[in-house]
Amino acid sequence: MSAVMIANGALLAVAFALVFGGAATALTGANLVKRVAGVIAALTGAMLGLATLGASAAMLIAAVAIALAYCALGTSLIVRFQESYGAIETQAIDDGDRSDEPQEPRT
Amino acid sequence: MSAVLDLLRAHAPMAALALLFGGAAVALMTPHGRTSWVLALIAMAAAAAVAADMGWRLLAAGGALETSALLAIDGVAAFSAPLIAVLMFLALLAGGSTLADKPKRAQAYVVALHLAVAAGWVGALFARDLIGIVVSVHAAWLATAALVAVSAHRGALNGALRMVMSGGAGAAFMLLGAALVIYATGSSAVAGAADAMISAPRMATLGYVLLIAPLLLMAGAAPLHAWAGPAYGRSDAGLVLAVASISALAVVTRLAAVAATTTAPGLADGVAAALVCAGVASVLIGSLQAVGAVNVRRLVAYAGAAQAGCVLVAIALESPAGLAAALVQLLAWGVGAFALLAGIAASRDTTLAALDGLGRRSPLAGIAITIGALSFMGAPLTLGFLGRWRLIEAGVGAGWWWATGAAIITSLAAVFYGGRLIERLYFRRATEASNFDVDAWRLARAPVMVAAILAVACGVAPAWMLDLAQRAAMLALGLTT
Amino acid sequence: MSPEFALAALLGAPLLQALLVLALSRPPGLRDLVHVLGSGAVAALAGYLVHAVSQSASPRIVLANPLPNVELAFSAEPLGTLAAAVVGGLGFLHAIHTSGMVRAIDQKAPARLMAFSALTTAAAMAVMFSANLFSFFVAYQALALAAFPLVAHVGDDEARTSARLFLAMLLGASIALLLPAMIWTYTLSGTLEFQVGGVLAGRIDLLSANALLVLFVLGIAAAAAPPMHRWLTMSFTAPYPALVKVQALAVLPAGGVGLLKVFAYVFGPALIAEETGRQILAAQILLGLCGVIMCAAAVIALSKTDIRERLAYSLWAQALAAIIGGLLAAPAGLFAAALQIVATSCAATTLLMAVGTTAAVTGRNNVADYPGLGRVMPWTFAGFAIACASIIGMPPFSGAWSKLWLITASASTGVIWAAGLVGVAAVLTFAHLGPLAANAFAGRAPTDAFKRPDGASILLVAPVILGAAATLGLLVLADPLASFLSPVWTPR
Repeated sequence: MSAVMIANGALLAVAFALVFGGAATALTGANLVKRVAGVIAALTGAMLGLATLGASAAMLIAAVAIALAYCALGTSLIVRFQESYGAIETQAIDDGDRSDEPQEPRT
Repeated sequence: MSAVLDLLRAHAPMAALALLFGGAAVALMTPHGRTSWVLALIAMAAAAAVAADMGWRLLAAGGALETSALLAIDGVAAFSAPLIAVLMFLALLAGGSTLADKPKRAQAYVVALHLAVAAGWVGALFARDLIGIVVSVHAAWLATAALVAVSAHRGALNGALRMVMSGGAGAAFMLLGAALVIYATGSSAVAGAADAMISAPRMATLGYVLLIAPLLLMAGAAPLHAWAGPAYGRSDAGLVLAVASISALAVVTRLAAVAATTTAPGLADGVAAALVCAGVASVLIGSLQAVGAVNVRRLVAYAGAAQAGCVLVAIALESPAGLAAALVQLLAWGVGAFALLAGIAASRDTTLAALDGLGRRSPLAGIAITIGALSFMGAPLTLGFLGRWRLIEAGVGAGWWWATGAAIITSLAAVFYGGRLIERLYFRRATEASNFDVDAWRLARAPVMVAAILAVACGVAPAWMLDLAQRAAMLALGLTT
Repeated sequence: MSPEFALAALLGAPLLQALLVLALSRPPGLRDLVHVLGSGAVAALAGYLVHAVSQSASPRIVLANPLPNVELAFSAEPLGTLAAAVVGGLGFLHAIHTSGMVRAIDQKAPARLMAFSALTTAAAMAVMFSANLFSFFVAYQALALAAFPLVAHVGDDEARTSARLFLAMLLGASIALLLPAMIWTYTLSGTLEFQVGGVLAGRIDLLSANALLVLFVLGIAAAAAPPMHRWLTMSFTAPYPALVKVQALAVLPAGGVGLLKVFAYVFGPALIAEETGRQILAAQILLGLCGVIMCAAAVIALSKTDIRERLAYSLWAQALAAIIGGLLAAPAGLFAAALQIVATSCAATTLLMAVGTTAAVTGRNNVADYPGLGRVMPWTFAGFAIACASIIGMPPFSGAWSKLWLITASASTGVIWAAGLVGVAAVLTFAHLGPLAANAFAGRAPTDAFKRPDGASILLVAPVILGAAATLGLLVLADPLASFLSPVWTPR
């Protein structure tokens, strides 16, 4: 096994770790900023993986574009949340939603 | 004029996309909301007509498949792209009823986003390369999330957030998956794996699973559907979300069909196993959640998860009969969801109790909800029955008797929640919770309901549609009919 | 008029009737006239079809082709036609009775009640005339959906619970059990058509036959085989006109006829194991189960004090007797079952209409309040007594004929214990209905019997008398009926 292959394997492992770790943060993070950071980490991991696997330039550019788009929409949502809920903590937002949800009247 | 038509027909995929993108640009530049809505409707109708004509030529008239540098059409695309374009046209039409609720400056954006969603999903079906699929899917997903975010209720923001977060994580997986498949097969073309000598079949299998998993999330398949509850439940973009589900499932069908035609050992089986697990989980979890739902729009989301589960089981069969069953079920789930969601929108509130007496106040909405619920139950002579029957037939043909169980669980759960809906509509009096929408623009929803009702009723004489689905499945698997 | 046209008209007439009743809901006289005339038309068309079928006609209409090689088709064959004619004729009497009832008790939403009653008739007719399993499945689901509003008509919590259970049970069982059975049949035989001699005969192994039989018997929950009977015993909260429709004229008889069609036209000789020449194991187990539960139902009926609930259990026992006849898998058993279904339908309609009349004019639903009522309502209770006697199986009423055939068929097929159980059930039925009818005449006449001084109107009494007369009439017709039904088990 050559050094290049070992390095590639290590890079791929790091890429997967970044993608899984980022995804976990994006889905479970305690506040919205952390969640958006998680998305960015995951997509960065994906780009690392693409580079390691020898993906084309077009593919890398596409990955960057996708990452930017998610980052932009995620950030603007943080602003909207701050305006509507006065909070960017996930718990506070979920509590707000629960209070909005009308209960079914008993019949 | 005929020269223009001939040109459009000769380059139908490109023409459909150009009409959608061009329409979006024109809609954005039009300052008046209603005018931009009308212009977008025209563009969407034209794109739907082009796609439908193309699908008809390929599937009914036996035309040849086309491939260009960027775009390629296979059987799944020929069947699903027209369906998605027509449904998005109806969604935009119905969107007219809530356009006035948006801020004036946002109206043109909302209209343009509808076209962007359509362009994204249709593009994903037409894309020749895997990277084209990834980019198109996420463009459509982001546009859908943006549409959810601009809903009047603040709770929709939570849905949009979950969509963006899970979509972002999904994008990372899809990119990695695409890179793995390309690395293993040596080709970036979607259909490339079919004739490639695959050097690393396990890597290719992992790649396909990573490509497909985020699509299952977008299809609202349980348990990956955490976004679906708040997004359906609080936004007024339910119809667009339903289109997203169908489209994502269509893309999965496309990828699974390619995986099924490869010679690499274990690849087709690996993908099938993943789809079966996801499908069965989705049927069970979705059905349970739908039975317990009290928010009627969430109910549709959960019922959709169960329906999506049935589609996944059918895709996993990876046979012509299975893929045809999947396509029929896609159609059935789409029009059933449209009938339900358009009917439900007649009530401004989202609780089940808000439907009390709706059947009398708004007979058309009542009929639409009833027909949609019956189709979800798989009642005979509806499209839903046809899909269920095709799934069971294909499952039994392949020796997958348990697939019958998946179809039956979905139908049984639908009897419970559908029965509740129908009881509310016709056997209860309107209460203070009933808050019916009486705005004149609600008429924009009427054609959607009528179209959905008629489509569900196609189950009475469906021979032509079954033939189209069968031919689409054969084409997708590279078989000649 | 061609038989095909008559068949199409018979299926369409109740639908038109439902629409007209809703459209002409005011004035009430016009609404009732439309309802009665519509039901009369159904009866006349069914009568005409009996005549046509007896002349060897076999009309068949195809409405749609929903799946390759599967038609939505309806045809008139002897079994379905006979049941349709009896149910149609009784439906005419019931329509007159309904007109009287909605006036006597100020029934809420009478037009809706009548409209869904007509739709239920349409669906029941479609079940009886279904030409294949698919059409049967479609009609059966339509029947459940059309009868659901009848059970829920009162609109209170109790009615809603009953109606939900009714729908869940009928639709749920049909989807979970009947649908797989249908598809299994299709994969085994390549067809869903009802054929004399059974489509599965010679094409099915013993294990599959056993499994399929269980799926069919439990899947057709309308036939009320245990444990799929809860809808029947829970539905007694429906208003009387709806109760008659559900228990005596549409759902229960249609379930019975559907099951008999499956026994005769899907299984045929496949219900008999070749090695032993006896019924297959599942049939024997179901025979034992139905026999024992039939006796148990008759005992439970004895413990019920609400007359509607008592009758529900009593009718359940009668429905089980019909299933037993079918499971015997012999011509005599099928004939006994067919006769049992029509005789029970006749007697149950009469009985429930009589009980409805009693409730409408006296407000009494409790069996303890019945003694002496026969003296103040002699005509109504004469009908009541005749219907009770028929259900018990006392000669010379039609119920006796079906019980006799059932016992003979059981004995001739070597299932003597089933004959014994039928006899025990008859005694137990006598115990819960006999004293009731006797005390109605023997007891002291109550002084405050009527809620209103004018008693029962002719609309409430005449149908009861005519229903009782029909119960007697069936006895005379037993022999012609046997020859009419013979093509069911012997191809022409």
